[in-house]
Amino acid sequence: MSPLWLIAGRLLKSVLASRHVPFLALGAAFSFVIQMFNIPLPGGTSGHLVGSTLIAIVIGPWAAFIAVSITIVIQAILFGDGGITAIAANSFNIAFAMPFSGYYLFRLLSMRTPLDSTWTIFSAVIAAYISLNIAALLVGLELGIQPLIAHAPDGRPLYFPFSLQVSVPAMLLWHLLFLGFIEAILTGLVIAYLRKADPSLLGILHGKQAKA
Amino acid sequence: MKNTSYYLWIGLGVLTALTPLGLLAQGAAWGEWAGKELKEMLGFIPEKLRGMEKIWKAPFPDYSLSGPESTPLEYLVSALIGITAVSAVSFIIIKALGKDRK
Repeated sequence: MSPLWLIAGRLLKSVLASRHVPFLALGAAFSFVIQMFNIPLPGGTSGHLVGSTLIAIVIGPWAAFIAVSITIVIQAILFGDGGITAIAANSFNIAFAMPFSGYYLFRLLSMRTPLDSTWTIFSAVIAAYISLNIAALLVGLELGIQPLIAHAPDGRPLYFPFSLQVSVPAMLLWHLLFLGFIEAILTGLVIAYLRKADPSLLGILHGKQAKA
Repeated sequence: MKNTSYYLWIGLGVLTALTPLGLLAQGAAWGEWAGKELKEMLGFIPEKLRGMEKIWKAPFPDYSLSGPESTPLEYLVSALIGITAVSAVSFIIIKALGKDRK
């Protein structure tokens, strides 16, 4: 993960327009707060939103990568959430894979439409839904592969105990059925607001200008 | 007109005020169990995970400032501590990157 953080820092230096500076802090703070909303799920577990695609659409994927990574590090160090040993994995999933897949999906979907069309909002909504589920799938894969590669001679798991057949459906089910939609709606609402309030903000980052 | 980030910080403030709602969920996120929860589920803690919880002692474990569980007020204060911390780190990173550029 560390080479990625170095690249991000270097790239960020060149793309950081002065007016975007407060947005890095804003992105990190938003990521932190949104992840505090634990949503009860059937089966005694809970889920939470992430917001990474929304952040990436507004401040760009590399800045989003830094912002969400900052949040993951602070969660682990100050609050014991996620955990020190999981910083790299968590960053890969929700600070890297999610904002990048979400951002480029958004770009791809909204490529042929002007920023002020409603389709921009729907592009963000679809991108948020899919990218959250990509991240959830990655978590499921990373957890489920552990008993396969790390078990004692008697078959007892040394790290994570559940297999892929359990972990992937467990991670995907509620993200596909429920959390993905909430993430999508939240993303759509904020993008709809920004499109109205400050279309230039979206325009700068996408290399195209909204019609005046 | 105030700039957009001003309104976004206001929106964030509203979200922050609502964070205690996040305490309504009882269970941990899937896969994010503590050793105690793993023990209840499996009857044992996987060998290599034993002791891992001790490698770092977070000052505010589980967003609680004192005691084992966070109260709504503590959760809210934790949110403010978290926002302050991530903002501070963001500004330090931006400062560091900016200095480099000159």
